[in-house]
Amino acid sequence: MPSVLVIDDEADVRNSIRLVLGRAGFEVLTADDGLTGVEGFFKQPADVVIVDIIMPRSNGIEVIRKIRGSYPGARIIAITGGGNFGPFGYKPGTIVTDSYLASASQSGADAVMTKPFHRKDLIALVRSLVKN
Amino acid sequence: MPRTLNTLVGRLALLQLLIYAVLLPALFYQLQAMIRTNAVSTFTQRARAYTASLARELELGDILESATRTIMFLDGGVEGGGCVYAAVEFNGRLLGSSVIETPAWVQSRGDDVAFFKSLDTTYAVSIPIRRDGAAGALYLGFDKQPMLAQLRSARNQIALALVAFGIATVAAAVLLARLVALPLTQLRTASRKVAQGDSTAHLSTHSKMVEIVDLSTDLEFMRSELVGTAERLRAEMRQRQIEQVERGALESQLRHEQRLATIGTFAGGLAHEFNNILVPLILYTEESLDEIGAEHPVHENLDRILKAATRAASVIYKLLAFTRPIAERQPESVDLAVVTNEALDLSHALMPPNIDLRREIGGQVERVLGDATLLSQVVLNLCSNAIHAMHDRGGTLTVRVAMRKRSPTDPLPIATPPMVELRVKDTGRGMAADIQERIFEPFFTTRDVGEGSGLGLSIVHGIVASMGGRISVVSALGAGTEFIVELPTVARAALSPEI
Repeated sequence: MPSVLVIDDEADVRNSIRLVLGRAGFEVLTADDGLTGVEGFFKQPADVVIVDIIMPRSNGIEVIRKIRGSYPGARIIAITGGGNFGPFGYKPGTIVTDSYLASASQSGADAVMTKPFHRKDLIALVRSLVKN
Repeated sequence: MPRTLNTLVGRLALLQLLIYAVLLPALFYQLQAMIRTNAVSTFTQRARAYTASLARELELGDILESATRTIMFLDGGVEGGGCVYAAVEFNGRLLGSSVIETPAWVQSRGDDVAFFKSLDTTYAVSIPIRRDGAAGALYLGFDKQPMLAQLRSARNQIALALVAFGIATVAAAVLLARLVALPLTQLRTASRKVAQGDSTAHLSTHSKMVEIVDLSTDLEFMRSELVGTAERLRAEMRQRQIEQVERGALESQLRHEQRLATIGTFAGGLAHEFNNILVPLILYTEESLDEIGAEHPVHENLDRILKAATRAASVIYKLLAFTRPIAERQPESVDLAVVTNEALDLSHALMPPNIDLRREIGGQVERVLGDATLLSQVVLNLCSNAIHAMHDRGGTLTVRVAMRKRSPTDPLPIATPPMVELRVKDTGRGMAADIQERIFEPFFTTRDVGEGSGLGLSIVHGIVASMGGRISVVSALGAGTEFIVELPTVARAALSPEI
């Protein structure tokens, strides 16, 4: 049974993904922050990692770099709720949804998804990565 | 005193007339007296000398011996002296000339001595005669009239000459005064022009008079100094006004941008939170729908929840467009005129019949750096608002694309590079100032519930800002609304990549 590691600080997000993917036939592991997620992956590497980008204790971009650094073959999906944060304010060049996703792709994510997403899209994406 | 008399010409003429009023009569009487004295003196002397010479002939000769010879002598005397009578008294007898009657009073009148002693027209002279111890007298009368006529003529000539002199000198004075006044008038005309703002008018005259030339030189120097100072002051004032307007506009723009930035940050955070909430909402609902099957009584309700959640996701997506400054796609060179025309073609079908669309798109418009789809969205959003503002009463929607022109009150620095301008103007209800302040905020809407999301203009603002442009609004209640989008041209965007 292919395994999926879901790293997200939002419990509702983690649990709903776990339910959907679990019923779709995947073994789902979860972690509620970046650091825990990376440690968990190193202990038991999953076939697919779904990682949120904005998280406490090591954000998604760092998680992707660390995993990709040790496991070049890992399959990673980056997800984000988007928005506009921190000290940037509203001005051109601010890191926003598109920038997060672009940044995730650059650091090695195989796919990016914006929250919210539909069940069938999530399952299709995970399956396509597992096949590859 | 009338104005004419207060002029240089008037005063000089008046002064001369006053002087002449005293001087000329005095001169007249003096001259007349002189001439009269001389003429009278000559006349009396000649009359007396003539009479004396005749008397001497009578004393020395023997004419008196015969009455006939005496009368003939007297006749010759009358003719020779032009007398009005001639008579001689000798030895108690009075003999008179035969050619002219001897007046009865000739003996009693005697000798006049002075010319004007008697008032009649005769000057009487009497000279005593002595011959051989006997005494007598010669009486001659001379006509005064030619003399008096001569005096009258002389008097008239003097008067005429003096009057002519007076007129000539007054005229000369007037002429001289005019010569002095003319350059002064020229200076006054020029100084009036200067006072009315014609700084090019020179304070100069054609006069060669040293005093006038000196005066005009000094005035011209003063004028050039004043004009220079005034020019400097005007330039400084203009500069200060421009700075003030620029500062005011910049401050207002900054306040506006800061406000939008705060709202943008807040909206971005809110969108993030909502998206995280929507993930379990959608996934659990879809999972449940899949699990229970289409026949289950709650299937329909769950389906409604899913649709609502999807709509919420779509609203949040729009909200994020406000906070998203740069599209994923690379900006490209876009012809705003073409994009606008295409967008208007699209929206034409949706245009109510009571709204008249006027396109002012043409001429040379430089290309802008941006995204054609997003710019199309800008045009559609602005047109949609304009149509909404006029939908009940109808009106004219004017869409204009052109190069931006500078206006005198332009808040942007003079060196601002060229920009392309999109103007969307309606003849609708217009907006009050407090509404204009807030129209770019997300979720702000004046439409009725369900008619609009309040995101249209905030999305437009986000798109325009992402392309380094500006959007502003000109509106007044009852006077319609005009949105003005200014976008940098490709050349300008390439020059300032930090925007």
